Amino acid sequence: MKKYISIFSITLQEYFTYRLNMLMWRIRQIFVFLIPFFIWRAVLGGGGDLYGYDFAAIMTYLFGTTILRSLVMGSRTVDLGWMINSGYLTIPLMRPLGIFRFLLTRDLADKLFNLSFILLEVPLIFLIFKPPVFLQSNPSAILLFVISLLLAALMYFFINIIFGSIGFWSRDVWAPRFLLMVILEFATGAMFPLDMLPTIWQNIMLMTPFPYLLYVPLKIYLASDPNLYLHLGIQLVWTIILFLFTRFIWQKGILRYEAEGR
Amino acid sequence: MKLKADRIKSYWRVWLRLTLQQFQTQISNARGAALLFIFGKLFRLATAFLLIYLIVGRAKLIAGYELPQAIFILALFNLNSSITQLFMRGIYVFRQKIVDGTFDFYLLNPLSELFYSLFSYTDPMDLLLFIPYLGITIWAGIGTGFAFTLPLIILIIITLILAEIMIISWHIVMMGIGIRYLEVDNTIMLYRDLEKMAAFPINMYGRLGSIFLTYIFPFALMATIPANLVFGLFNPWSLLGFAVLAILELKLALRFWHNSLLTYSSASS
Repeated sequence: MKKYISIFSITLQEYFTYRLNMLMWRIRQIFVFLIPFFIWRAVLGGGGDLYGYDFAAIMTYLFGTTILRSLVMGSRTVDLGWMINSGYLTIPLMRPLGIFRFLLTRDLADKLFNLSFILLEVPLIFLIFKPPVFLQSNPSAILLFVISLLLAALMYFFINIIFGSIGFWSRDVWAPRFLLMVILEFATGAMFPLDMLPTIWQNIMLMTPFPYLLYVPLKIYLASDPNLYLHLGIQLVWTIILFLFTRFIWQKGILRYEAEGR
Repeated sequence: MKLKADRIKSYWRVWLRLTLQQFQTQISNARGAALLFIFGKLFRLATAFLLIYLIVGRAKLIAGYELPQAIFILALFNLNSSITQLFMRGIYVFRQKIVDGTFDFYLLNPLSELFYSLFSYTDPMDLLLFIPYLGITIWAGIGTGFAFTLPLIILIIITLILAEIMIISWHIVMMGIGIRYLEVDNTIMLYRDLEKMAAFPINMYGRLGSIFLTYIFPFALMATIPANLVFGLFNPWSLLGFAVLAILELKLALRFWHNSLLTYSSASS
């Protein structure tokens, strides 16, 4: 356990090495909120609703996705493809560490780092934009939301390992990752709530794992998901499928690893 | 005069050679990756159009613009942004060049170190995408129902050139920051996040936001102003003021760059 605490601490220290870099990154997290805020303010700021969302509801959704994105999609495992291609993966492989536990520890450090900054940034966003947001007070909704959030974080961890593992077969890990990022931006519901799409498209999307990263956890938080338990069940099934697939891909990939570059 | 022409010819030849090499690298290493990139970029554009369609299609107006007008602004932004991406890709690897000492070779070259730093990584795949992007912009422009006369097209091109001058200036500033503080990656991504605001009508961001995105950053010039020229909402003579601003920004950026170069210690080589 001690060695994982050390990895956790080193990962956090790495962030503070290039302070300007870190500052810019955090400022970016605030700016992510800007465009959707102004778009929706231009459309709904004067009152009324769109697809059942009034300004307060859409702001809560967008505010929620901004926070959730930092927690769920804040990850160091995105480096995995580079680690494989540069041979850096050899270092953790040679140490007495479980590789998945090593990667997960770094991810947790990243999430703690994000969480601590969110606590500073959220009041700042509130102060500047004064978004009308809804605070959930129902304990069961909060509990289910936390479960969904944990599953989402695990799902994203596995997705990152799967995409990073492409590095075992190809030197080009950036292009698939770029495509994944583009798909995630849309299919997780980060751009807009997916229930604004026609029902058939919503149903198709809900069959993929992506909406379970942001959209479903947020709907659970807002207590506005009519199929809450079904979606939680699907999320659990996707987590298991992604875990099994991650293990399979890793076992196949690691056999091809040649520690090139080391 | 002839000397200047020869120099421009040299830059052109070097740029062409570097771009060709990039193309050869892509062809030999990552044909599939290039396709994924193209698909990813088209998918991203499609989702942006979908967002506009979902919101403005239902709300009817956004910041005073109708759906076809908002779509034209988005298409113009996308076209202009792709030009920037196409030519100024070097900034994404600039930090690495400083860290590993490759920048020393740029300084030793007879051509400008700025030219190598900024323009030496032109992605030919972006060049391919430029054609459909242009087609989409023309389609969106026709969709607005406004007439496109030759003087209007020339004015739009002038606006886009002014925008590019200001964009180059900001890229030079970011590289100057890179030399001083070894930080480029997040700065350019922050700039790109801000740039995305230009995909929508600038007046949507309030009075202060509009001023910021028009006179400090060149984002209004990327889409809203050229679109307003088409819609008859912008006085073309105001472009003279923007020309002065663009030259001023470029001069300041170059001064910052030269001052930053004085702090470069070549520590990595």
